Amino acid sequence: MKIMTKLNLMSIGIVVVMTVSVLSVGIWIINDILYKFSEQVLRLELENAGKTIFQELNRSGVRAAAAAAESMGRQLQMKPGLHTTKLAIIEATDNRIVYHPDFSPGDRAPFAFVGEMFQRERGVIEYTLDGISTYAVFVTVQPIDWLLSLSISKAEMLEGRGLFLREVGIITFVVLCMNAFLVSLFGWRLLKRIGATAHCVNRIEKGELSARIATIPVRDEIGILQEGVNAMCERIEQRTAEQQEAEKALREREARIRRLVDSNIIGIFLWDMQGNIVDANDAFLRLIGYDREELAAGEIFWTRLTPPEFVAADVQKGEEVRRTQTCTPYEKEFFRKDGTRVPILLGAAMFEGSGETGVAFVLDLTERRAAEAALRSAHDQLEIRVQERTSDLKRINQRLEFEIQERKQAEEGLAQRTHELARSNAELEQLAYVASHDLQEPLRMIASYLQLLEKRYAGKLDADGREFIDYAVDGARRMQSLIDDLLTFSRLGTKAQVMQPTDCSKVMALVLRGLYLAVQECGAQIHCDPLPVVMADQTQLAQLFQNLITNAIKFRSDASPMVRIAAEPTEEGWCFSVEDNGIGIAPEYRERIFVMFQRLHGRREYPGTGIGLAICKKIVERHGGRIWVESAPGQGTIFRFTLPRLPDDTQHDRLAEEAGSRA
Amino acid sequence: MTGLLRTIIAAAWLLLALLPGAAESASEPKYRLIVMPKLLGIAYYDAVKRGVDEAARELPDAEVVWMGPPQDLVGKQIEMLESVIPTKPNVIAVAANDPVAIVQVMKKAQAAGIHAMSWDGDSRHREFFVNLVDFDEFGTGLIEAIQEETGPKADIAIITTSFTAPNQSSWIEAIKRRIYAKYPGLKILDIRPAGESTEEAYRITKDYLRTMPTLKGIIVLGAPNPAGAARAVKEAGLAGKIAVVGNSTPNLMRNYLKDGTVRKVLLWNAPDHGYLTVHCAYLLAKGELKPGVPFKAGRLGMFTPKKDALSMRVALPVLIFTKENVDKHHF
Repeated sequence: MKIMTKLNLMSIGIVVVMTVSVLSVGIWIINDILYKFSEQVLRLELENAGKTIFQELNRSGVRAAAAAAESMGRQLQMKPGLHTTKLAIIEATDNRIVYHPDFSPGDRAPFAFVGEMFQRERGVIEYTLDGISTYAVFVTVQPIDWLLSLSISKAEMLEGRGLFLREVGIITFVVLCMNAFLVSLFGWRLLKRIGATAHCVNRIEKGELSARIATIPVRDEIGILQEGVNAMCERIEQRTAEQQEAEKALREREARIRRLVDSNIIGIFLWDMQGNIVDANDAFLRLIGYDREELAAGEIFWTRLTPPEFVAADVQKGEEVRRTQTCTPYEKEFFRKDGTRVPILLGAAMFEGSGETGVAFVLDLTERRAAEAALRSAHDQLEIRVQERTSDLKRINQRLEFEIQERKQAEEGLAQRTHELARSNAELEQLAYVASHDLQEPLRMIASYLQLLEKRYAGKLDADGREFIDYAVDGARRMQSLIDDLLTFSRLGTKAQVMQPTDCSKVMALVLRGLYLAVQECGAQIHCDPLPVVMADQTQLAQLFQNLITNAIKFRSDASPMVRIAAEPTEEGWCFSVEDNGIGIAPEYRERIFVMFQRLHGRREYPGTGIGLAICKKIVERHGGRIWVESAPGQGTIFRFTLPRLPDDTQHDRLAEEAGSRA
Repeated sequence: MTGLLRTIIAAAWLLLALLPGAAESASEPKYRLIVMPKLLGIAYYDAVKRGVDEAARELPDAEVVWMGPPQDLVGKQIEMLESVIPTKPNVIAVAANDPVAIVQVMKKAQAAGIHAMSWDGDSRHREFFVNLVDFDEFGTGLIEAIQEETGPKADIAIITTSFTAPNQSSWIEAIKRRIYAKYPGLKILDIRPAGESTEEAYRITKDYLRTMPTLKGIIVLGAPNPAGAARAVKEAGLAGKIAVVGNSTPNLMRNYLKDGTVRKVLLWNAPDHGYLTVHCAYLLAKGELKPGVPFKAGRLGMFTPKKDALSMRVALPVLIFTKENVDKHHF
C-alpha cells in the first residue's frame, strides 16, 4: 500500500499547487485584461468627449467648453462601470483648472502629477488622491495647451476580479479534487492487479509450477503482463516436464551404449593423451590378456602396450586425432601381458570438446595376417608370369616403332619434294611472265625496223630481198603472238583476280559482243542456254569462253558453223559444254591438245600459237574444275568443263532434282 | 480690383523668379530672399511691403522677392514654396498660416540647402523667427492697459480670432501669466473666438454685455475685431464704463480712439516688421545671426537674437496708439 499512499499524497499536492497556480495566473491575466480594457474604454470616452468639448470651444468659447465638459462628465457617470469617472480639463498656463467636478474654474490644480502629465502629453497614470486609488487616461491638446483627463477609481475598475477569482477558484478546486479521487481509485485497482501477479510469481518461485493468475479482467498493459506471466508459467511447467523426460531417455540410452560397448566383439577402450586406459570392454581385455581388476587399479597404459617401432605412428595418429577429432584406422601391434605380440587394426576418436580423452576400437588381425601371407605367395608366382609376357610384348613393340619411324621419314621426304616442286613451278611461271614481258620490247623493235626497212628500201631490193624481209616480218609477228599467249598463260598464275560470284550468262554476253565481227564473218550460228552463277574470276572466265568459242569457229568444216553452249548440274558442280559441228579431233590427240604449243594442223591451214587450250585448262583447274574433250574426226567436238557450284545455289539443286526425276 | 492686380503682379514676380537668367539682367544679386506674407491684397501687408521694399533698396547685393497666396491658406503657401525650392533661393521667410502644416516644406527647403525662417506667423520648425512683438511684452501691455481703466479687481472677458491662431494663443497665455503673477483680482469670465470678423466680434460683445452684468472690460484680439467690440459698447451706451483694449491698425481704430470708446490700441509697426524681416533674412543668408550677439538692422538700430525652444528670435517693440498719436500712422 506504499505506492497508494504516495499516489494520494501526490494528488493532494497537485490539487493545492494547481489551484494556487490557476488563481495567481488568473489574477495576473484578469488584471492585465481589466487594465487594458479600462484604458481602451476610458480613452475612447475621453476622445469622444474631447471632440465635443473642442467643437464647443471653437464655436462658443471657453465657458461653453467647460459647460460641455461638465455635461459630458455627468453622462459618463451614468454609464455602468463608469460611476466613479471624473472628466477634467486643466490648462498648461500655471496648471489652472478649466473644468473639474471638484474645483472651480481658474483655481490652481493642486495635483503634483499634473506637470508629469503635461510632459508625457498622452498616456495613462495611476495615483492615490484622498485615499482613493485612481487610474486615469489623459491627453494634451495643442495649440490651446489643455490637458484632458478621465479618471476612475481602481475599486470600480477591478470590481469584476473578485467574482472571477471566487468562481474560477472553486471550479478549479472541485475539478481537481474529483480528478484526484479518480486517480486514487484507478491506482487502487491497478495495485490490486499487480499484487495478484506478484503472488503468482512467488508461488512459481517456491516450486508450485501449476500456479496461475486466476482472472485477467482487462487486457491493458498489466493485463498483457499477467497474460505473459501465465504463459511463462505454462512454459516453465512444460519445459520442466520435457527435461525430466529427456533425462530419463538419456539414462536409458547410456545403459544401452554401455551394453553395446561391453558386449562388443571388437575391443574398445577409453583413453587419454597421457597414455592411460580409463575404461575398456571385455573383448579388449581378452585381446591383451589383462583382467578387469588390473584395469580398475589403473595398471594398463596404451603407451606401454605399444612396441617401440609403432611409437612414431602413434605420435602421428595422435596429431591427427587432435586436429580432426578422429583418425583413419591403422595397423599396429600391442604387447600382451605375457610379452607376445598381437597384430591389430586401431581406430580412434576424440570425445567432442574434451581435447584430451577419446575412444579407440581395436580389431584382432591375427587371422587376417595368416590369410594375407598365403595370398602373397600366390600373387608372387603370378607376377613372375606376367613379367615374362611383358618382355615379349616389349620386343614386338620396338620393331613396330622402328617401322613407323621409317615411314615418317619417307613422308617427310615426299612433302619436301612436293614443296620444292611447287616452288620451282611458281618460279617457272614467274620466269615465263618476266621473259615474255621483257621479250616483247626487243621484238617490237625488230618488227618495226623491219617494216621501216621494207617501206624505205623496198624499191632497192630484189624479189629475194623482199621475200626474206617478209619472212622476217612474219616470224616477228608470230613470235609476237607467241609471246602474247605466253604472257596470257603466265598471267593466269600471277595476275589472278579475286574469285567472286559471277553470272556466266552476263560474261557470255560480253564475250559474244567482242566476237561479233568474227562470228558475222564466217556466218556462224551460236546458241547459248541460260548459264548459272558460279564463284569465278570474271576476266579468266571470259577468256575461257572466248578461247573455246574461237576454237569452235576456227576449226570449222565445210558446213556452216554452229556452236551450242550449255550448262547442267552434276555431282561435281556445274558441267559446261561447248559443242560445235567442226572438223573434230582424233581420239589419240584428245590429251595433247591441252599441252602448250601443241598444234595438230599446219599454220597455214589454221593460224594460232597452240596455247589457247592450255590456257583453258589452266583456268578451269585454277577454278577447281577439270576440262576434257569428246570428239571424233568429222563428227564435231564437245568441250566439257566443270566449275564448283556456289554453296547456296538453289538453281543447281532444283535442276539436279529435275534431272534425277526424269531419269 | 487692387487685390486682383496685386495677385497678377505677385504671379509675375514668381514667374521672374522661376526663369533663370531673367532676373540677372542688371547687376547680379548675391542673395535671393523670398519673403512670403500670410496673404496678399490687404492693407496691412501692403504696409509691411513698404518696409520690405525700403530694406531691399538698402541691400544692393540682395534680390528680395515678395510673394504670397491670395487667401490666408497654408495649402497655397506650401504649393508656392514647393515651386520655389527648385530655383534655390538663399532664404525663404514665411508668415505661416499654420505653424504645424508648414513644417514639412520648411524641412524640404533646408534639405535643398535653403535657409528657412519665419516671420509674423511662426512655424514649429525654422532657423529664425522675426516676431511681431514679444508675446510677453504684448500680453503685459494689454493687461496694463485694461487695468488702468478697470482697476486691479474686475471681471473681464476676451475675444480672440481662433484657439489655433498662434499669436493670439501666445498673447492669451501671456495675459494669463501676467494676471496670475500681478493682478489675481482680475477674473477672465470667458474667451470666445470671433475669427477675423468685425461683425462676429460685435455680436459676441453684445452677448457678453447681455449675460455678464459684472463685466468691466473686454480684451479684443485680431486686427478687425476691436472695431466690432467698440461699436457694440458704444451702441450700448457703455463707452467709458466698459473698457475695450486690443490689437488693431490705426486706420480701423482712428474714430473709436478719437471719440473715447477706446483709449489704447496696441500694435507694432507694420512697415518696420517688413523692414526688419528683410534685414534678418539677409543676415541669415550671410550666416551672421547668432543668439545673444547684437546686430544692426538699418535705421531700426540694434537687435539681439534671443534663444528660444526652437532656434532664436527677435521681436519689434510694442507700438501703442492713442488719440494723440494715431494720426501719425496710416495703415
